[in-house]
Amino acid sequence: MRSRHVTHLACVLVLFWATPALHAQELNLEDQVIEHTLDNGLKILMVERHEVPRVVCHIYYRVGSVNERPGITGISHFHEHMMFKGTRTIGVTDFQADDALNRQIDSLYHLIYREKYWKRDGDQAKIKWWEAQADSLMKYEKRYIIKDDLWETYMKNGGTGLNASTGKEITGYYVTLPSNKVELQMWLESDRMLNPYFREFYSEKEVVREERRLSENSPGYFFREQLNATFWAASPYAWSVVGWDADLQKLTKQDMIEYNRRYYVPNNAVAVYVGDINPQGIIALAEKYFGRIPRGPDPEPVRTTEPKQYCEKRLYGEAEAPPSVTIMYHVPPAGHPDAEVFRVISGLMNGTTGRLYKKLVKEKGIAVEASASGGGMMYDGQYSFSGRPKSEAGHTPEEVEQALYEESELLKKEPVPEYELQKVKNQTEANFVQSLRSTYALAARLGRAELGLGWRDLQKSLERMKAVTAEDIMRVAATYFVKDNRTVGILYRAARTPQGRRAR
Amino acid sequence: MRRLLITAILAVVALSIATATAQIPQHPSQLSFRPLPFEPPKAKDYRSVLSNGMVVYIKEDHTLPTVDIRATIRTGSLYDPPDKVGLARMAGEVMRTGGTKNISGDDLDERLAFLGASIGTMIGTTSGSASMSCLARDREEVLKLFADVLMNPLFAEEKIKLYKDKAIEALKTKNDQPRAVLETEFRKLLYGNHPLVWEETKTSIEGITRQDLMAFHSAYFAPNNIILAVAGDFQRQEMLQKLEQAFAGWQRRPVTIPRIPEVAAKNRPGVFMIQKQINQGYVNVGHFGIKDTNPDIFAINVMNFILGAGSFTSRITSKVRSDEGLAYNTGSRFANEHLFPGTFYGYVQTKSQTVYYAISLILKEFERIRREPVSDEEMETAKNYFLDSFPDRFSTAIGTMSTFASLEYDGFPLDYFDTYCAKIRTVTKEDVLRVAKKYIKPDEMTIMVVGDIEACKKGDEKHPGTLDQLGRITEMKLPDPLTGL
Repeated sequence: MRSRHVTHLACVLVLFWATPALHAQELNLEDQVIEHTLDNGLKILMVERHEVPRVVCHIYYRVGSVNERPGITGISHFHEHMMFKGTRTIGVTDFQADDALNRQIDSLYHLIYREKYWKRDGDQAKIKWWEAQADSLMKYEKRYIIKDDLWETYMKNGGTGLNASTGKEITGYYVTLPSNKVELQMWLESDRMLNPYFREFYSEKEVVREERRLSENSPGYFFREQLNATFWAASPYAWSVVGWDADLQKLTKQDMIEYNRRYYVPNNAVAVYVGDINPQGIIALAEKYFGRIPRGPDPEPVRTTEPKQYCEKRLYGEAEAPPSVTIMYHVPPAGHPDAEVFRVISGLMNGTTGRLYKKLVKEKGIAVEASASGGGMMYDGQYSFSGRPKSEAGHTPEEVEQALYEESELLKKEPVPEYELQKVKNQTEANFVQSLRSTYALAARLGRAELGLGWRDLQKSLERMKAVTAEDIMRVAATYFVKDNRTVGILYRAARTPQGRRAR
Repeated sequence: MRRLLITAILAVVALSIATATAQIPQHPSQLSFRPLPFEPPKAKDYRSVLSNGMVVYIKEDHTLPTVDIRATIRTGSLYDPPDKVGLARMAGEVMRTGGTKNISGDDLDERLAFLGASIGTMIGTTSGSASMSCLARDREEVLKLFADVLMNPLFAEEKIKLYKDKAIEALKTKNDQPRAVLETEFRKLLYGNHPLVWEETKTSIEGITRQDLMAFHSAYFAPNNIILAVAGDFQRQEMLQKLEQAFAGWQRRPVTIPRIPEVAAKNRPGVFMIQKQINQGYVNVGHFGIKDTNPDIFAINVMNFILGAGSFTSRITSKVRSDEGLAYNTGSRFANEHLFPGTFYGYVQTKSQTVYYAISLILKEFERIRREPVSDEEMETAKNYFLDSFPDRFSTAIGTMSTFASLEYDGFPLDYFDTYCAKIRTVTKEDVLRVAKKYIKPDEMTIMVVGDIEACKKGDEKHPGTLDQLGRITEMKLPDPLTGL
């Protein structure tokens, strides 16, 4: 791709500035991505970028909150935290001694949890006594723990972008390293996959609960969480990634071990390397380090499919947040022929030249913000319209709601003009090219796509999007944007007393 | 026979596993890495000046068929007149949305959207910026539009009204986020009545006119007051020529940057609390910090990495989060300013009952790093991190050009990065101790807590202690953002 382009330009551009340069559709990921699959099923994806001697190294697992069930919600995210607490080899000076202590601590917590959560009136004195014992064992354990060993090892070797994240479907572990140190990542990550050990489980659980509190203190969080839980009747998309606090409290070490065994296997993962690499060298290292990990049983995909909704659902709430309306519709999962149509609809609706801003903000002047987003996820889909009324001028969420309906009705009635459709397609295509500029973003897109419909689908879906017609939009809007298929959330600003305490 | 064969196969398998695993070192510390020399790119190699005085940092980058330009303009909300607070910010947005003398804002939006390109402008506290991004095939057209926005903004009345509506609506949400409240009020407490922390109100926003915006533009937007960073899929000489053409007719002229009052850097010890009905206390503990021109900055960065900026490798995170499970977010920060002393603070967000305990742990770490030298391992980790991650700054062409543009904007020597690594290498444990003693003042800490005051004041059974042990408590009233009163 690159060389052809450069030689071509060098001789022609001097004469014709306006020569059409490489068109976005000529940008072919196929030419840039090198893939390799290990015998144990781990996929390796590589892209060479030689600007600086650094390599973005990401590992993604096909696991997230959608794989959880009631009772263990939040475990995927909690597991992500635990993966930074070391392994059987990292983060510990004497594994045998540490393990012996951990077994004692776990047995105490087994007693505590049974007394606390299995009984209606547990014996508080007993609980206190066991907790005190566990506390002193945990204090004693510190002598065997090398604090945050994994993180420190990465950082002192120039690791940046060091983090991990858990979503509804995918969990990722990230680090960017000097290009001479990729082997360090292979060592540490293959060790995390092979030798997980859930040290400091109980204190980390408190960190996760603090993280949940942080979300709770973001204005309108509880309402959004409830709205989402209302929208999904059966699907595990119903709970947030951080999980319900009651579940977090009761999660056990054993839950964590079982969850790890099921999902964190090489055949459920992809490793991505983007940067100053020699692909053959990467493959050799991957064979050596990741190749030693046994393949696991293939995890079963999520069984539950969201049933059809037969009546409108509505939710009203109050919070110390701007008033708003959200209208959610059930739509098909990614890969469904209709899925790409929603991408085009988002293009039509959003941005300063999008229909929502033009109509609701500029023309009618009833909203400060309006947008539409969503589409197919791995197992089901959700599409929503939302807006914030101009409350200072007395406008209400209900007014915005009606105006949003007018826009979705219009989609059903009038074919989208050719120019508007082309604009959306151009924008989507250009955004796609722009999004590949950052090596970090490129690694993330490839890895996540690979665990969904495969990385090649990034480009294929772009082609499908370009084939969407005005008729497709009318048909899709008429099919999905209907009353019985929607959940509407209306949030009002909570009245506050002069002391800043919420009025009840 | 069959059995023998299986045994033989098993033996081979076992052997190959043994050799494979034997190659893998027992511990990552046993890995060795080939040396990796890195010479940072030199700013002067990329610098050009257009005939009208506009400075350009420019680099070809043929990775993708795109072009990016970012302009930095010497201006800022710092120079807002006291009765027109919000002027610079409004100018920064409406100069783009309001269109130009040649094209209306709506038409500009449409054309850029059709091309899948973007042009944006904004003005922050101490600088203004404008940027464009497009596919390489559209660079000439988008560059013309970009130059037009910089040179000829119209500030159309209807777009001013749209902006005002949105800005006033945004004021109403200003006190919603506890973290935003903490950051704003903490700075206000330290900087007092200074343009750095002046706030917009409904009245100040409504009072700004199109004439104000036009005058603002004439005052600061001149080619000789702008530095460009340019990167993408083009030929350098060709692009420079196009830039000359795009900005032709824009003459250089003198620009006067107003003088700004000095910050009276006087710390304000005490505990300051703001009521919010939430389940955590959002906490900052600190005082004035440094300017980014301070020669001690390298030692301070190493010290602060060890103290609380190095994520899990830092003492505060290790203690407060990892050890005690008290918080998701905690650490320390030197928020350096260029023209003024910045702030230094430790921060934590923790459930109301453990607010006192978490603060006391942070204060202990402040004391410890001033009292005893850091360890050799801590020094090694911190310095290695800075040295090994150094090339990250140059990982994209446009990022590198912008970095050089910022150097020039802030008046740093253009060879700043040539000596960067050497300066990190020479930091010693004695330097770290010295700067900790000099720049961290435990007796002058402003402790600010946003949260449910009554719940935060007292500790819990497990961690006894109350907030008033840390200083006199002042309960602060949050101003109404619409009126500022």
